[in-house]
Amino acid sequence: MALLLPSLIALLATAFSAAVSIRALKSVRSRGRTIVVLVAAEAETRRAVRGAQGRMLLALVLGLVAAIAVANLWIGAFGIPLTIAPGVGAAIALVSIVASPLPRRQAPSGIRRADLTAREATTFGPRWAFVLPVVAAVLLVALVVATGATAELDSRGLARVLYTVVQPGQTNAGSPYPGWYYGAPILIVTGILVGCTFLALRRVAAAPRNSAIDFWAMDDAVRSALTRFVMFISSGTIVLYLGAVALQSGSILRSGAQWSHIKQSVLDAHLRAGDMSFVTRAKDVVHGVVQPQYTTGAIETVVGLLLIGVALTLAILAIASIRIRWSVSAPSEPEKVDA
Amino acid sequence: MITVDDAHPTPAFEQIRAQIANQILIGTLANGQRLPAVRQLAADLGLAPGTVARAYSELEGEGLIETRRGAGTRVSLQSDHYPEVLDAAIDFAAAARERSLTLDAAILALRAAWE
Repeated sequence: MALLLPSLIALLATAFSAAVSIRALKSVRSRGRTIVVLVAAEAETRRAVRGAQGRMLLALVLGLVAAIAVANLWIGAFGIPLTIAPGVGAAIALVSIVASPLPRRQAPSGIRRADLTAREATTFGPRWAFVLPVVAAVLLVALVVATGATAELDSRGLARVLYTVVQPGQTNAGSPYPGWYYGAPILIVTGILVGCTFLALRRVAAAPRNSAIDFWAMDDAVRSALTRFVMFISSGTIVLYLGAVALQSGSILRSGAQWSHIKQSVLDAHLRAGDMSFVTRAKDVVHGVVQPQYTTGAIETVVGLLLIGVALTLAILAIASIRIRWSVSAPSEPEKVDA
Repeated sequence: MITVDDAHPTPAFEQIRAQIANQILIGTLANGQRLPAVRQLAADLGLAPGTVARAYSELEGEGLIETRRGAGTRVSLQSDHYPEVLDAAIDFAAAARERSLTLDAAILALRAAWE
């Protein structure tokens, strides 16, 4: 029964993540509105948009480089570097957003302006964008705890095995299973990622606003784009971890639930003939599965793949957030005066 | 929105205090509405946080806002009748204008009615 728990959590995570991703896709499509700025504000707008886009691109590049470096520079530890690489990369991307300020321009007239709306971490994004990573993180913790609780220690004392079958001459182990050996680093990286996400959102919201009132709509659009970028990076990484843990635990569970042995009649025939060393033919082997472990593992594997698909969709949406639509309003035609 | 004019002789904190007080009294800022944090408003206006903090402190002293740890600064107008009085004043001003009264004459009439 305990083995069913990871599957149930993964299923729940898939249903939720898929629903929110569909909502995100619809939102991105409907948010394609173009900010229209005055001709006089064109240069300033271009500077601000390019600044924000530059920050997002830099964050992506730094995140990717960090993830690749972590995954490759540290060889060994049974895949731990590869496990933490996505989380470290995402955290580095978000730290770069925290570290680079939004460009700001003071009004040249000596009149300082500010609106009286409190800007908070959640001001510039839709509610679902903040619910997704929180729920995904909670489900990830539940999944890691469930797989951790069902994991066994391997010969080195590391909790990364689901089962161990000892046979004469050989030992088969269901590994690498995402027990505490992989789960604990995943939880630590996820905690750091959640912290970086909050800091990045606060940084984006709290950065001083431009004094020029004509620029406020554009300022809001830039902050919204940065907020969406942060949330898609963060959510995508957490959902990727959910998917990877579900996929790995599902495939280990599924393979452990399969068995095969040589038909008893064939063995008896060989024994009677005194033939102690023989080549096994495929037709002499019987295959079977243990239920419900096999079905559970299969479901978990499919669910893991779906979650990884959702994570990739969120990554694509993060890249799509870099695009900020804006245009310059056409100057009005001077009225013709009849002579 | 509020503005601070560098060239105006009134100190910046008083400009901020007066505009926020006006917006609260005429109902533009609703009772319970959250105001920006001192740091946010100071950064947006390009002023020292102490300037905004002083304006907020005076508004608190007038009972127009209150600051609670964790809940931020919110409008806390004790009397909710001000908008109604303002509506009556708008009607009164319109009636005075119709009768070609000056502002001073209208104020005299209000003072006479008050006493």
